[in-house]
Amino acid sequence: MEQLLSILTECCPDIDFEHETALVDDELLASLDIVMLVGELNETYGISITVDDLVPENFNSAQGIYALVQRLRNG
Amino acid sequence: MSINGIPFLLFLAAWTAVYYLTPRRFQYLALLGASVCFYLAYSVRAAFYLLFTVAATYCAGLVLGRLHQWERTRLAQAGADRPAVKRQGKRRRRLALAAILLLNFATLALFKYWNAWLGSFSRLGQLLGLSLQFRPLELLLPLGISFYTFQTAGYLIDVYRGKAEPERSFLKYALFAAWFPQMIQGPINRYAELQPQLIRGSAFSADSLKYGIQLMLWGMLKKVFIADPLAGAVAEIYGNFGQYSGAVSFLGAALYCLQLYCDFSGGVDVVRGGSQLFGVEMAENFRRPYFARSLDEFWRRWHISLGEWMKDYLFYPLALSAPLNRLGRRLRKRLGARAGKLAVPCISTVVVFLAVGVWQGPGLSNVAYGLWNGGLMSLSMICAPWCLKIRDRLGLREENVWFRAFQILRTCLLVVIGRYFSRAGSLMQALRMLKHTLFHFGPLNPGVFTCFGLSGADWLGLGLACGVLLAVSLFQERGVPIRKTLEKQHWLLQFAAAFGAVLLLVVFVYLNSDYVAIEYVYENV
Amino acid sequence: MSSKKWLCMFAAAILLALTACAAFNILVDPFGAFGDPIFNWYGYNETNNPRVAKLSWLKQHSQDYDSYVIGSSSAASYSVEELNEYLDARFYNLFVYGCDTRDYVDFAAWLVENCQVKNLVLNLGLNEATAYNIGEDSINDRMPADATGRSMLRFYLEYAFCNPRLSADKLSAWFRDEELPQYFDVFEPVSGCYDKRLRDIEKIGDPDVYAAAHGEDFAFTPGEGQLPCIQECARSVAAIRDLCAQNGINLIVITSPVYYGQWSLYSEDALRAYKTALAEEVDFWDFSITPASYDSRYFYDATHFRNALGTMVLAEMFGNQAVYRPQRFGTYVTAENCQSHMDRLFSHPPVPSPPDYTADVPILLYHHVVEEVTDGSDAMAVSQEALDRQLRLLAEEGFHAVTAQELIDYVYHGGSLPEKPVFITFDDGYYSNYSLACPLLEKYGLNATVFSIGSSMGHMEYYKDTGHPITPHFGYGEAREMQRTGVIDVQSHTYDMHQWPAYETGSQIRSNILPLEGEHYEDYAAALQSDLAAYNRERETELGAPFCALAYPEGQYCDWTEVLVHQADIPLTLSTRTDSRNVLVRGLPQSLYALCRWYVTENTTPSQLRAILQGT
Repeated sequence: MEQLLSILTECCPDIDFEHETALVDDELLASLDIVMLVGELNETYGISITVDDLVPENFNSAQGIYALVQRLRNG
Repeated sequence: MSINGIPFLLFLAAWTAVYYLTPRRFQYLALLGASVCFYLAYSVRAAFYLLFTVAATYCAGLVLGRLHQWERTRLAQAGADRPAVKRQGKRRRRLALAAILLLNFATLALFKYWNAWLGSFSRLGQLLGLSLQFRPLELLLPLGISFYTFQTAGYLIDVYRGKAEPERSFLKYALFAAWFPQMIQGPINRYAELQPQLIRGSAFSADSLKYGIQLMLWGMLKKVFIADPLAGAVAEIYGNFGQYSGAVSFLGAALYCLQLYCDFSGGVDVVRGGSQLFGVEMAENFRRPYFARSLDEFWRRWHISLGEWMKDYLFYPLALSAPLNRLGRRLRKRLGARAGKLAVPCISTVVVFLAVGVWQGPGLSNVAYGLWNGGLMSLSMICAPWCLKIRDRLGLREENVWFRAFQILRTCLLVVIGRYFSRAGSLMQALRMLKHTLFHFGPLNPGVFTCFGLSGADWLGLGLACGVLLAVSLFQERGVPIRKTLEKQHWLLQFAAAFGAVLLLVVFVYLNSDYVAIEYVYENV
Repeated sequence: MSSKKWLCMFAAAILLALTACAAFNILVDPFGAFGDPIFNWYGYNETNNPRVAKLSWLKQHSQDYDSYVIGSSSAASYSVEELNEYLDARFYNLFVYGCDTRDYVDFAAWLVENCQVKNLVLNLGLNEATAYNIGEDSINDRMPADATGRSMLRFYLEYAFCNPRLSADKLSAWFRDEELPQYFDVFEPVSGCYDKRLRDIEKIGDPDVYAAAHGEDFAFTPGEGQLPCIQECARSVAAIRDLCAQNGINLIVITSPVYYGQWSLYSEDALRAYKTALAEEVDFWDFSITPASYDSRYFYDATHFRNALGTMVLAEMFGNQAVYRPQRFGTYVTAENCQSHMDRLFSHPPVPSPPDYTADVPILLYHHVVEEVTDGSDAMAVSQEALDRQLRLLAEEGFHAVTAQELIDYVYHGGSLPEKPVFITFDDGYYSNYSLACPLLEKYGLNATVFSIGSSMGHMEYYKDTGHPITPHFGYGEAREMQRTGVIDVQSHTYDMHQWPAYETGSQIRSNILPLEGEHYEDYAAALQSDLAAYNRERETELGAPFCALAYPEGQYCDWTEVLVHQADIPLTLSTRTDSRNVLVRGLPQSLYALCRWYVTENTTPSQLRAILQGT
């Protein structure tokens, strides 16, 4: 989780990932950010996030992203 | 049938009455009836084209649904072989989707671009040493082809992804694809959002009627009192920019931004209002785009339904596709982490905006328009860290009013420059005009304002109308719901507002025998 | 407010908006369809739609008239005053533009229904045989429903819900309205004619100048065109004839003057068929091809003859010998003589020769005459000796001096002018004209006209009541003497509109006849009229008659001046322009307007003088 947060913050320094829970719904995370983030996550964790995973639930909060990463890592 | 004309208004009124008098179970049939009548009134021939697309995509939806079902049953039986089944299922679905999308978009391309691109095909053939002869086709561009093509494609992709169940009733599906208010200039609706509203029916609601009427009035006022007067001036400037100073070219592009916004958003308001009469909310298409603080934000506020469509059905699939992922990884190794990280979003962005540009029209200037937007957005991604550093060095905070104003103006400037391309007749003309602006900027004499076919009184009226628009937009930016707020005012004020709007339209449009209805810019793109 | 209430209110707003627009249109009434209750401005309404507005005017004023002219816009050139005099009637000119004979029948029927009708003058041109029932699509061309039998309700709804812009235009025109006609009020409501006050001050004479200004309007290529609506026209005429017979109305049918270029568009057969068809139904006066048809100066444009020609037409019909008409002017056509009339028209067309009805008149302009020119004398002054030399040249070259009255008689009454006429004028009324010029004129058997400033006459030493010395001016004593010998005629150079600013003390100084800076038409008209009257008061007492010619001080004048001066029945005006020849045309009052004059000075050489006299 710590590592994830640092990736997130590096990607979008202006966003408070620890507390926001509606990153996509409130349009804090734009599509470009999401794509960049996905690239980073894929690279760091050796996973491959696909279009089907791009639903707001997965990206609205740091927890959601963490859960997604965990799920994909565990195949 | 012009959507501001009396015939269309009477048509709406009649079908609204029919709709609310129909038993709820059959209400969707009333909507379908209205849509069929509307489209037949436009053209019987075009109605056949529409029917073809509707039938093809309806069947494709069913096929995709079947494939899903086949996959599910096989998965249930498969056990250890699941990944293979999944792969096989996906391959089949992908094949079916590709076939229908190819058909769908090939039809669109044929209608929209064939004649325009003929010359280019021949020239390309010559370069390759082939003598190709293409004959221009005498085609009637079916009304709303861009919109229903995109909308049905979105539906099919949703079904393919398993996010939507295929519609089994042909009539219900046809209603979704051919819902008449969206045929003139969108918005591009989502299946998941529009379809339930269309088929569920609704009891008579004075609220719906009121909000619908208000939205239509607002849209008409924008169109008639801002977009229409500007249309002639903009045409004059773009057509004869060489006769004026470069400042006038810039003014023309800026006025075109205003015209296009009022034209497009006005038209969409009218059709959304019309849809609302039946209790059907269509997708929002504009959120005060000229208050955007970046180009990226602008595109999330301008023609939202197209932007969303592009994001979900083109941008993400492209950016997350395996080839681009591989490319990203390779670049990361060769050029470092930052380059690898930025490459994929940049490439995808450029591709998306190329698509947006081409969607607007067949010319090279539209390609340039796409490149301008996509390129700038990529550039801003690449420069973002340095920009942040400069901002911090200057001690500016995001919330600083002046900084925000600067950002808004900067965004507007970029948008205005983009409009050189999207309005010009050709790429060369756009470039000449841009050059003229840069190298012959010159003075902007007050006298020049009388050269565009607008009198002093016209400018005054335009100024007043823009003032009202600005005030309303500012309120909306602050989160004030205009219609709800108006509701709470004294009845006299409400009456004055309604009476004023109606009187303006009656005097300047409906009784004005000199009024020439100007087509919407994006009417039938 | 609940949404239901809002919807009711919205419906009310629509109704109210429509009502407001209708009320605005009815009250301002840009077409006079509702009787123009507030402005009563029919000059404007008729310009918008003469059909609707004229009938609406007649509904209110039918008791003022007992006779009517029906026709299309060329019928506008018949003066109701002249008709009133000839027929002892009260005429209204009910012409409307863009009319066809179906409308004429509707008008006639409407008149019989709604008004007392004693005489009906029906004017027919060639257009009446080329088109029939051309429709009334535009709100500007529509006939009132009560004249066509269409739905009255629909008619009133159309005008109540016409473009509110039209009412707004009328309001804004109301604030810009002036005494003289503007593009938005070209009708004269009481007579029903066009208000041609401004149009008819156009200076006409020099054919080259006229061709340069109007040439395009008169360019025609002769053809073999047909007249497709002869039968409909004849039927309409027959219907009007029967209507008049049933109601004891005196019907006068005129086929009006046609410019020959227009005439030549059609085949002889078609033209013969037209006249024959008409003659079978009714007797009529035919003026279509006369000597005047061959001179475009008698026409505003190819399809509209001038008021002056209208005057000649009426004079011919009613035998007014005082008014000039050429030979073979009009023919009263009946079924019997139609054939022979047409035969003669085509075998011997009445082509005139210009010397029969036009005359070139050079006009010389002198001021002061001195015994001897010195360095200090007036630049415009001419010495006795030079004047003698110049007058001798005139006499030797065979020029005959003419008077203003002779010029007027030539134009108005067909009077004759001597060969090689010249008009010699002296401005300001200096005593030297009496003491030095008069004996010289007498010596060569010439005469001249002096334009004297009324207020300066008889002032031998000082300018008016001031102590400023001036060149001596003769008085009425000398004037009477000169008038008696017939050598010098005295006409007006205004009474006091040629003031010398340096010697004047008043705040409004008129150094010429032009309006003062920012002066309103009404004020200017009052000032000008009182000046003309002041001159005549003295002249009539002293010389027994009013003046007939006015030379503009400094040669300056404007449209307003010309309108007012000719309205005051002063037929001859003179400027100091030199841009065209003075070609007098018989029957055309405009050929006496703002005539050109050439300065003759001490240094004018004989060859220069000859050039002036020959108009080169």
